[in-house]
Amino acid sequence: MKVVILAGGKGSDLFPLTQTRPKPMITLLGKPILQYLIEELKEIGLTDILIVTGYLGEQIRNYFKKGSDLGVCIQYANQGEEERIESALLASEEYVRNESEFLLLFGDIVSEQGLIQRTLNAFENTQADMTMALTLKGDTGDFGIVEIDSMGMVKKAGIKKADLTSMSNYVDAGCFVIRTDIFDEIRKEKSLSSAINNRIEKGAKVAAAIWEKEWIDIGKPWNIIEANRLLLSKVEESRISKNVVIGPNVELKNVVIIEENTEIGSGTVLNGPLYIGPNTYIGNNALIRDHCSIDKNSLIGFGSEIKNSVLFKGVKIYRLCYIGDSVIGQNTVFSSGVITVNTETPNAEIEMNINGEIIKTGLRKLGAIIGDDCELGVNTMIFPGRKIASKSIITPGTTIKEDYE
Amino acid sequence: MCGIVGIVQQKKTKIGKDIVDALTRLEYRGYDSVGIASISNGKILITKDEGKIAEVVEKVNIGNIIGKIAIGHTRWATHGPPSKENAHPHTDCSGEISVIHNGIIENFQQLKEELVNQGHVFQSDTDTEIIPHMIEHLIKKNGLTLKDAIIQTVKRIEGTFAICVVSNLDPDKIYCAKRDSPLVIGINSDRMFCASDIPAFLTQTRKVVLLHDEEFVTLSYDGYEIINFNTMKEVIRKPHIVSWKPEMAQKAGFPHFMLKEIHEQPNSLADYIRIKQPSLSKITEKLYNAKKIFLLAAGTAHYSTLTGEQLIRKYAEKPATSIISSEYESISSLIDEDTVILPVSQSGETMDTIMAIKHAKDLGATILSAVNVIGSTITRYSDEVLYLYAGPEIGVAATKTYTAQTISMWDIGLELGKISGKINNAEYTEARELFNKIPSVVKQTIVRNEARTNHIASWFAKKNSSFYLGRNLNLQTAKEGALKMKEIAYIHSEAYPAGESKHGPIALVEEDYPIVFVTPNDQSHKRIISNIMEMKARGATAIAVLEEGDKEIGELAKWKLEIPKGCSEMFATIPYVVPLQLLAYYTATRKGLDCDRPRSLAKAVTVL
Repeated sequence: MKVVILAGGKGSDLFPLTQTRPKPMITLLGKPILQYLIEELKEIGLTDILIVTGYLGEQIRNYFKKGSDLGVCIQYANQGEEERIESALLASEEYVRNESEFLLLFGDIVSEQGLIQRTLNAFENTQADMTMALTLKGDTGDFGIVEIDSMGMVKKAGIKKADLTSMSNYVDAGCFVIRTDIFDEIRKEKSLSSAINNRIEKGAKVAAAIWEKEWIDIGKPWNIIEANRLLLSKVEESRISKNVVIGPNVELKNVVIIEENTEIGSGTVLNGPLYIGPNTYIGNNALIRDHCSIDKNSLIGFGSEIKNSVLFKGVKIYRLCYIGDSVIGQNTVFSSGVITVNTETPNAEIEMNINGEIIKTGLRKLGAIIGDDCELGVNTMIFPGRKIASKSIITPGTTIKEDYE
Repeated sequence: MCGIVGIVQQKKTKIGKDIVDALTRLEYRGYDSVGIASISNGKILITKDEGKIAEVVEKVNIGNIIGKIAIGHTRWATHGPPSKENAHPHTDCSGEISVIHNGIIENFQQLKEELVNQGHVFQSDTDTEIIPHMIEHLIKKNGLTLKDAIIQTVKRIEGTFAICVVSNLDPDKIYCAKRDSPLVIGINSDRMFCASDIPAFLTQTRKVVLLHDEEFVTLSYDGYEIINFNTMKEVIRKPHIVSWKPEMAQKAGFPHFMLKEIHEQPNSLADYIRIKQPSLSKITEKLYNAKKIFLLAAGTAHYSTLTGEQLIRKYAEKPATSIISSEYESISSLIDEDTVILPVSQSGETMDTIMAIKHAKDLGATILSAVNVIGSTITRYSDEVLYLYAGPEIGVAATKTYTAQTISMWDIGLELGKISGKINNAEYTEARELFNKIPSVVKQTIVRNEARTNHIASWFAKKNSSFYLGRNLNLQTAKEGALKMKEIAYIHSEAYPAGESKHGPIALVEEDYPIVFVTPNDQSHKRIISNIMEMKARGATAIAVLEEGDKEIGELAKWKLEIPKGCSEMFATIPYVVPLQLLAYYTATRKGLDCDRPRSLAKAVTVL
């Protein structure tokens, strides 16, 4: 079966991290999230892959190339400036033309292993015309709700917003087996879910593959922290690669991955699970707490504390900083004493401004979301849930109470 | 308890694959070892090993076996540990007679000694192995035919059995016999099946013949002959068509049967409501006129009878007592002709219950049962049967059959109230209207709570121990919720009457200790609030199953599982249990457990 991965969306809700990269290139534990999907496909033997790119697509093309490094065969299509899923799908029509069905994946999902196999199994076991993976989502969220019958067959897809009379709590999980003869309907109906609903009305069997395990759609900035946490929680063994230097009195707890040529200064505590990429320097007496992912070529200075955060490559954190529940873009520099405040005082749910709309995050701990190539002066303090645009320069002693754009 | 299956057909095909498919659908009956016997080039070929079906299929390639006849077995150990030697089928010394068996042979020690003295060599610790040896003995020493030897053998066995025999002495027939263990026949145009349960061959045929105790069957590809092995008289029984669709026995896109069955509840309850059963009025009348009423059940079904017990007391104003079937002896001296026994069972094959009602029937008691499986043993001993219409339930942890059993209790309760006058006409009409709405209330309950329970589960999964508290009828819901948590998530959970919880259990409560409160907005509402306070004062974390909009309790609980308004007094034991099923399911899933096959548990316990 051929695979189509949609990776062309702009992901504007993820500002400022998507100012400079397409969503699927967000890197966790040293790999872009798209790579996790491709590796899972390779593992179950699906190696013919079309990636539909759009916004900043050249980054995806340059990174994955023809896929030979990952043992798969990747081709590309371009959805151009069009944002909609339907235009992306139509861009893949040519690639799957001679097939009867194909696997469709959204390139911005992070899930426990097994989602794709589950979907394929459900397709096979039920002998259905199509299959869509479904998962549970909490009270919030703007996912397409899917109603199913008690036999696990889809009754209606793409229902907007849950209300109290809604007859389902399942949302589509971005993984489908789709018949290739649906393209005409997509053109006509202008949306994948109405094309599917149309099919169901005509009597087609669309089976649900229900995914009860963890699943994250990288839609909002804090989903990056959640996805990082999920991936780290699944790591079972510590690994310390070659040419790693660990100074005296360094304490390692739980699962810790340290990539090659990285140096850990004396007295530092590494409290896993955490990931530290290659060519990184962690200074003396630093405290790196659970669920951190620090990408390659980074630097953490004396006495800094980092917790439940994602640091992209080339980040420099100088002495005595605190980073909690935050995402830091690549090559950003924190001068001494920068603090990300990660709780409201008094304690309250943290809100975030997403494209001008104030959204409840459902979290009581959330720090800052900072773009690439920023420079934060000494003693900058950032209030919880605030964002700083890429390439910002913040003068020493500033308190960031509003998003900095 | 074990699963057995046999196929005999006209053409040679990959019969091994069909046996594996059928066994997979019987895996709920047992799964510690698997084996198959077929005939190839005039010889019996046995392939078997220890392990779950998928594991064994990988080790020894059962799927590729070709032939016209085969029998297969999936075991749940009783005599002898799970091992290759103890896996069925078993053979005689010459390897010509192969046997699979579900049940327990009580006099096997004695029979085994006799056979050993005759020079027979045994390979396993099982009770089953005496069967092929005794058949061999009767053929070689007494000159009987294979068929007569099998009949003489089953006559000598004391205990319970469903057996299938395949031998190269008669290479195109399967011989079966049963007593107290289930066995059914499936009929197709050029092949015949026998199995412990209908789902085994549901993808192949819906034409089914149910067998009764003391019956012996000769099965060939084009026909079946049933005789009573005591009277040797032929029994004429026509097949009937089962209405279950084949996919109903599969889990479709659901990760586990249990989750699928939780989601099926709105449908199974609607089926129960839709099908009007003439037996209902007869049952209520007999209950109303009875002097003594005992409800009998085991496991989950017992908790549904606790609802029944209270409703009979309330609406018929009769002393009714719910007894666990295995504790039947404690009431056996009270049984007489004025007694009504009301057994409740999913499978209708629960051995403890069968033994009890057999005894009670002999003493002249009236048996009125509520059972899911049509034609099952319990229904045959019953004077009247109320069927549950929940369809096949595969997940070992009962979910949809519990709510079906409970709705049947409410159904009986309403009718009793009407006869007794405890419910007046207007109230009755109103209650029936609400009764008809139960499926949609349950649907809403699932939709609102599934994601919430999944969230709570990630916390619950780290716990070792918990309490489930409720008052009055809601105590039964707490008991069932606690049972689910034990059964599939392996977390110790104890249900207690909330008012009693300070007499003991409270000593165990410490910081962040999980306590689930079942708290509909009924007359016990005020009192349970003080129970929640007591527990919270000791650091417990409260999870409340409550009526939507219940602010008072909502503020005390860390987590709320909300049930739509309207079912707090009437029918509460149905929707309020549903979030607790989901909580157990997701907690087990978080712990990485296979909730369809909990360790050491079997679906229907057909041994004593």
